[in-house]
Amino acid sequence: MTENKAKNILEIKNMHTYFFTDNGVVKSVDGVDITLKEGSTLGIVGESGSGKSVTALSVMNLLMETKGRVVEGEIIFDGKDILKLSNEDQRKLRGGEIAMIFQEPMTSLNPVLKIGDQITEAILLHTKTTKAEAKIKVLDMLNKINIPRAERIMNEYPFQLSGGQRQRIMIAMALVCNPKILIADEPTTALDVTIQAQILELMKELKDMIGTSIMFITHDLGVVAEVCDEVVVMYCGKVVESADVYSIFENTKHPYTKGLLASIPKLGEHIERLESIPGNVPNPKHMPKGCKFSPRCKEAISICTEKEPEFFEYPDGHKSRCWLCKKEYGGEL
Amino acid sequence: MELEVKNEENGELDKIRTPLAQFIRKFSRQKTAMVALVFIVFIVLLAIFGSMIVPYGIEAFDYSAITKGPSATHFFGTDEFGRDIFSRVVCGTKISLIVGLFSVTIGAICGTFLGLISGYYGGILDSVIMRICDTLFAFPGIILAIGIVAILGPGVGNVIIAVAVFSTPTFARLVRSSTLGVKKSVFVQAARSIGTSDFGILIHHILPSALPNIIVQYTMTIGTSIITASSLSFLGMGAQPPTAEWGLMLSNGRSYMMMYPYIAFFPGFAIFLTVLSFNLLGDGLRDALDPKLND
Repeated sequence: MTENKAKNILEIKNMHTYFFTDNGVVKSVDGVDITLKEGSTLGIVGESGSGKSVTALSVMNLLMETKGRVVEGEIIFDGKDILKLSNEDQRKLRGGEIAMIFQEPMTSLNPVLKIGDQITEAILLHTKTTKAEAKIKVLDMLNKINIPRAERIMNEYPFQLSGGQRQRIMIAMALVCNPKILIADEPTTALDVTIQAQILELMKELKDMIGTSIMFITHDLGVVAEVCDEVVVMYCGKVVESADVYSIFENTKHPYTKGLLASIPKLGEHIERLESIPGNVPNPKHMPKGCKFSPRCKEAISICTEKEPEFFEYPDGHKSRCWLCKKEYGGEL
Repeated sequence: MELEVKNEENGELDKIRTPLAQFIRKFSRQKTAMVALVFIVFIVLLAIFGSMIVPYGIEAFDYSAITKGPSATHFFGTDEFGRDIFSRVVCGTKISLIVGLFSVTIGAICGTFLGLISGYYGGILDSVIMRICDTLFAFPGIILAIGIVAILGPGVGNVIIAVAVFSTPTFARLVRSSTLGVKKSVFVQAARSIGTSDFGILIHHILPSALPNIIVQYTMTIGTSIITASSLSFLGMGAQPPTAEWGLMLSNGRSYMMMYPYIAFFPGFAIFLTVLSFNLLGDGLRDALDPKLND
């Protein structure tokens, strides 16, 4: 693939994000390595509580209102570790270079500010423009996101817009400063299916227009197939499988990913009951010994409950954190 | 009240209610609050123009007509020095309103600022500010005001400071609790994700959410602070004679309560009506601004 030669725009190296709660330390992200290539879309997939959103918030440095903290690791953007930057430099990065859109479009706009003012704020924060120039830019951006009656919406309040329109506004707000990276945290989860398709289409268009790389967080594998070039599957704060999007679907390695794929209803197939992965994501305070997926894994063997597997890399770059993969490739257990 | 906007798609006029228009609509439905508002406007006009229209000066002694009852020449009667009580009550409006407005404005600004930073930053700053507020809360308001005036000395200016100090903690607590609620909301996180500074978040995103509460508290506190200011004057620690101040007039009239009750009655009634209308206005505002009472 051509993307393989593109340079890495964001490298997350061995990142650990822990939450220090009154009831003890919760290791939400426990040693994650993720690489985002320039101009590509990376999907991060996993169940609720697998650490996807916390990974995003760690990159954005938006954990300050929580008890969470990145305790170890590096986040390299543009050759610099953003965790070591001053607060002011981190603030400039947010919105200017790295932007984010959130899951809930209904609550992510300030209900008491006009739409136009909220988008203008983003421009005025990062560029030296007058209000009049910023307004022209906002109008231009609103036209790019295909929102009807752009001029009028500038003076409207969020409550006057539908969920899909609000998510478009959020996208406009995030992309108006032409950021290099867009982190989308389940941007279509709260929308209905037809609107989802429109939003995904819009994100694809804007990505090509602006040249942004996208980190797409979702639990919807259908969406992943639609938009992503590469996929990372997370489970319990760790990456369990990573590969390009074709290998993930065609040549699934990790039993967890297999389970996720099996639980999607398929067209033209008549079955009484959908497959599901038994059990729940374990409580972060009582992690199972060995492989964290082993209690729910159909293919678990004795070593799985004793020792945590390493990341095992296939020659084509497909990586999987599973003892079976090592065994399959003839490795010694 | 509706905003008429031309719809570009079908050329028809759409009617959209702005939040302000909604508020005005809901407020104007409340009869008592509207009456209170009209009365307050009337008092404000009296405070501004009252001294020009009164028939007598506030220090016009007339020893030929002392302690006269209400009549056509003296609407509210005269006091023990023959001064016209009507003129004095009308002129007293100014002092009471100025003390009420200034002290609560100062208290609201200080309290809002303290509440914002203490709710937003938390930690030691929060603990220190809130413990100081707790300490101020532990005093009954009037005792605290007396204490402050005792330190600063009597006078209208010092009464303003005293009342401002004792209304500050209420605002600080109120704004802090709104801040705590709003600072974790998604739109604040979204604002932060586009790089908004702490200051920008506080002023543009958190303060507007707290504003409805502040407005209601502001209106209600004006009533209380007018009472406190009058009480201080009544006790001889506020306005000094011969100023026409309601509390002071009440205090003078107290000696003649049995024989000439109107000397004390009219200033007392003025205090009662003013405070009542501010409280009713506050109630009305709260009902109109509370999103939980949306129809």
